[in-house]
Amino acid sequence: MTDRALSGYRIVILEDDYYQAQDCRQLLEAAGAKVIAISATIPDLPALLEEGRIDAVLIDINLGHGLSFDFARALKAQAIPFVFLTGYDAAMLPDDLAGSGYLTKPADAARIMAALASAAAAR
Amino acid sequence: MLGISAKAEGMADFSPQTDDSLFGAAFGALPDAVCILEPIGVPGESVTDWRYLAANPVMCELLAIEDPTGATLRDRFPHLADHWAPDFERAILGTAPEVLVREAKERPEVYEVVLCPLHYSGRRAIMARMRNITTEHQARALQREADARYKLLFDAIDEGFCVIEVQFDAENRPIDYLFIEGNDAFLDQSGLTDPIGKTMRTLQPDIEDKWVATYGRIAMTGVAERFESESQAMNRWFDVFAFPIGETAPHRLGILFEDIGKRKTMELALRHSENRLHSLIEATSDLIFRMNPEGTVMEQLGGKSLLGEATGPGDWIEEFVTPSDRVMVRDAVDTAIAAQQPIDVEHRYLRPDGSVGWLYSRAVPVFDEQRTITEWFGMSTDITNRRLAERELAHGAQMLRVASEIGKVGLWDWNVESGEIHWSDEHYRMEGYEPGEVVPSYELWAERVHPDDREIAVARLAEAMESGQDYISEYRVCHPDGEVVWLSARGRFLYDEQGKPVRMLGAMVDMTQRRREEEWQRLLVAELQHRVRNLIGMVRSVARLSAPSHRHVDEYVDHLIGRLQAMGRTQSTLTRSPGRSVDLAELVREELLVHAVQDDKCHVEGPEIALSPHAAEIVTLAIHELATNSVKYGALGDTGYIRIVWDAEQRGEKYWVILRWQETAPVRKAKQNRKGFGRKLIEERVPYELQGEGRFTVHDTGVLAVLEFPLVDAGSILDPRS
Repeated sequence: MTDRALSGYRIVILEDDYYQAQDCRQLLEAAGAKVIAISATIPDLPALLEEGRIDAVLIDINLGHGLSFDFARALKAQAIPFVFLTGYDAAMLPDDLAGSGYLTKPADAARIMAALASAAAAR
Repeated sequence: MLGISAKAEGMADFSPQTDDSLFGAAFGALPDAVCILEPIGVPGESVTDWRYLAANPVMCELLAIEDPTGATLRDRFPHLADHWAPDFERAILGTAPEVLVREAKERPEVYEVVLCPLHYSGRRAIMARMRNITTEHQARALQREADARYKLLFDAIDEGFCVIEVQFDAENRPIDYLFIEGNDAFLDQSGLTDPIGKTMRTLQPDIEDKWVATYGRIAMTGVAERFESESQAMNRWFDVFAFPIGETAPHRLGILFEDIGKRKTMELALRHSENRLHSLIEATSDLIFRMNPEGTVMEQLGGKSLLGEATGPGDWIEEFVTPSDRVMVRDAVDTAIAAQQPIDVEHRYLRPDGSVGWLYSRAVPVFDEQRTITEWFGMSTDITNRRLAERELAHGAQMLRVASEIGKVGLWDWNVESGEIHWSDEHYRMEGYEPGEVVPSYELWAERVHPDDREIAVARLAEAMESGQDYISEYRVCHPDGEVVWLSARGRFLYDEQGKPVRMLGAMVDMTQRRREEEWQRLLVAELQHRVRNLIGMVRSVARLSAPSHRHVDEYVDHLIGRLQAMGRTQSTLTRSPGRSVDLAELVREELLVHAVQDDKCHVEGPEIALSPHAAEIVTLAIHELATNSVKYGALGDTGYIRIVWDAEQRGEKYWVILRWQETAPVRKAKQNRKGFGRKLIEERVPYELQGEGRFTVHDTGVLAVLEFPLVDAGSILDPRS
């Protein structure tokens, strides 16, 4: 793991499982990122953006009570990079999001950070 | 008459009665009436009258007069003098006798008058001889009349008639014949042009020898013959009666004949037609029969021996019809008799070998002038094979119908050439129509296919038609009510000898349910995969998050295993519970049981509450952590007591569960300030995942934990957290 590979990155985590969200946050913070929000539900994007820029979003597709595709579309519309982290296969992605960054659970820290770094850098 | 003049001029006394000279005697003895007259005046210039020089007794008798000698014509016959004068004058000037025929003016008599000029002693006279020819004249007139009638008859008869003269060569062999006479019909019927006076071989050089031979034979034998023969040279058929005329040479024959070409043609046509009719009857029926007017007695006229060796007339219904069909046949026959309509009946019959066959019998009534049925004429055909085939066909059709109904198979039969399509009832339903609601067509089918599938379905069909391979296609069909149905169709094209597709048969089944189940299964597999991956992710996170609070590996492993087991219990509870919700009381009791909490050490109380799987998982883990903690540090490790009570209350639109875990025991160990796994679970995970609240406090009397969270409906199977 490249030490502090995500240094200064402002990242949002969308994950309905508390433990995984915490785990992920610790990982990203250890890599130097600033996790500006973790949420089990779809967050209020404009409100988040008021607090500052978002460099990347890590999204679990299934949030327990709904799918996060619309949120992903909203991010895409604002050109905010995101990566799906999900137990589903990539085939689950709708056509308009088919090319998005995508990681299968369980993903180790290296892959998560590499995917986020590349998504953020591609902006 | 002449005597008078002669007397007057010096020739007196000449009279047949008085002149006894040789000439006088001869004159007087003539059997014909004769007289001699001399002109008074100069012949050729002026003759005023004629004087009788002599008249024989026959003449006097004929004219019924006295001897006129010396008298003049005008004296005797004043009204005749002018009549005869021109004739006498012409005769006297001529040199040869002149014959005249004259009818008598007063009587119906005809006379022949011969006038001879006489020259003697420088003088001229005429001698007139008269003969009564009335009888001869009448006979000739009659003959002429008869001839005319004969000629009329001759020409009037329809048959050709001619008289020929057979010609022979030196060896007395007939070689030709000459047409002497012929009537109008002869010309018509022989087709010869202007034949009279010509020979047959002149007229028709290629005439067959048989004609000459036949006529020669008749001429020689004198025996008439009647025969029919064809002349190919003349392209005619003749019916001939030839008879000899006279017994010796010239060898003449009368020939009465008729051109029967037309009749022959008709006879031939009739024979052909009869043959054809016969063949037709033979080909279309096995048995030909006649029947009495009552339809009881039947006699076989021809055909095969369907009914055994041909027997005499008999009651066929009793004899041949099976008992089961006798009444029906009898009724059919009686009905036809009453209506005077043809009989038309199919029935079973007993074959000679004892087996039962099927017979199709038709009969038509034959009427007399009073329209009374005199008999029936009919034929029967054995239709056993047809009936068997029909029955098999009916069975097959029934089987197909039932099978397709039971199997919910839609069938189609497409006449590619005419475009006609037959759909089975099920097919209509599959396309979203009531059976028979529309007239099926290719266009109608294509129209119902889901727009997204239409191109492929149509292409598959065209491909199958082109290649001869079976058509296999799965596509969606949109019903008018909005329902979308999946159909799986298989079909096959049939081709004619030229390889042109003429027909297509096919069957299809509704795949909607199976498609749905497959889709369901696919979702389940995806879900399972998701859950397993999620679980592993969670286990990883739990393992990582559990690590910092334990300095000893053994302790860490114990804790981790305990937590994983608690998570496992939730899963098994969920799997066992088909309602996809978990009873809170049951959950609590099970956790206490796992941790060997005695009944006397705890109090559990609360209304019946169904938790969602997600909530159940968290509560299970929370109880597990609290119990583990309690065994290690609190009430359960000592003589303490635990109250676990819960209740539900309405807050806003939702019901909230409030669960309290309250220990009553002296705190044995040091207060735990660090936020342990259990405390984090209650204070952070409950708000994070259940949008509730959690408190974990350690009092002097023991631990108090309160979990409050809103109840949500039990998740569906597709709720990934369930």
